[in-house]
Amino acid sequence: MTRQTCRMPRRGNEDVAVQPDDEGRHNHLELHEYPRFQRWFWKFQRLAWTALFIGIVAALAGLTGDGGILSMARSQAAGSSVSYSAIMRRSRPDTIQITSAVAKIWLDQRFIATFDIDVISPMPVVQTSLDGGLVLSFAQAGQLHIALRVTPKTVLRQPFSIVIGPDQHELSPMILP
Amino acid sequence: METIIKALAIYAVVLFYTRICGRRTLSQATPFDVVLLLLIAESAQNALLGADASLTNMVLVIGTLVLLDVLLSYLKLRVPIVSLLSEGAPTVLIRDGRILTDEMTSSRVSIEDILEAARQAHGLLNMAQIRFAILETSGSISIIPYPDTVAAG
Repeated sequence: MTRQTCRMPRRGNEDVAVQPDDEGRHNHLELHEYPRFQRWFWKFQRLAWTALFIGIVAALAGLTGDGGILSMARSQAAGSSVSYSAIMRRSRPDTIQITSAVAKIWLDQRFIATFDIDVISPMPVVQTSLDGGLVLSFAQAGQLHIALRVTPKTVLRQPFSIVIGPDQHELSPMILP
Repeated sequence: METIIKALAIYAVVLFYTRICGRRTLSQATPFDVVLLLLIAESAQNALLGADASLTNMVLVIGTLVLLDVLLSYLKLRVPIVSLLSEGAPTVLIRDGRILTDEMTSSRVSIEDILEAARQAHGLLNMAQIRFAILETSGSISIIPYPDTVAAG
């Protein structure tokens, strides 16, 4: 039999009728039981179950993105507003909703570095580059409801700006791996 | 590179979840456990491969997992703590005919489980015939009957 040497405790099982020998074997059973490790692991197991439960409740509340009351955020200014997910997931498409009274929107360089833009609805009439960012010009005058379908391509907190006329919306969603 | 990091991370996560599930879940295979294992496998597969279903990705993922398994089995031999953490240790549930209720409760093993193992392995009739019952690291229950019981059987 392979002689096992380990720092884990080998003694201390109160239930044994015969005391263990130097190898930690009991009662002619060639068995390394590590009773203290077992007890520690059972406690760890229960703690892990509790942590899992807390994690799932947090996920239901929206703390891991993908919906939930805590995951939605909104930036409001005088003439515009931006609704977005405060917690996003990398590679998972998400939607940023923009309500605007002006027909021109500037997405800054950090936005472009953070997201792939999948769909813009309605389609802008003109798209031009500006300072590493992107200016979207829409045909419709008056109140606009724009949906930007984006896919995050980086992780962790990613601040960026969306400038709508005189309003500058500073957003910083958390992107989970 | 990302594929390999993902494979390593998912291996660690699935191993962790499997360990905290407990050993009985591994071997019991009740309908709940079958569903659990199928869903874990499906989720892990999606996370591993993602949108990249290329042959290169598949070769890398499988290669990483196989190498990790070989490395872990080697480490388990050399470093006992790795074996303890990844597989646990056998748990004696009945010692010299004495039922260790704390160990049974913590391991989530019932008297019925032990009797079932005793019937299947040795054709034993009751608890009085069992000298040792051990929950192995695989999740199976080993039964060692009293010698006279075996002779009588």
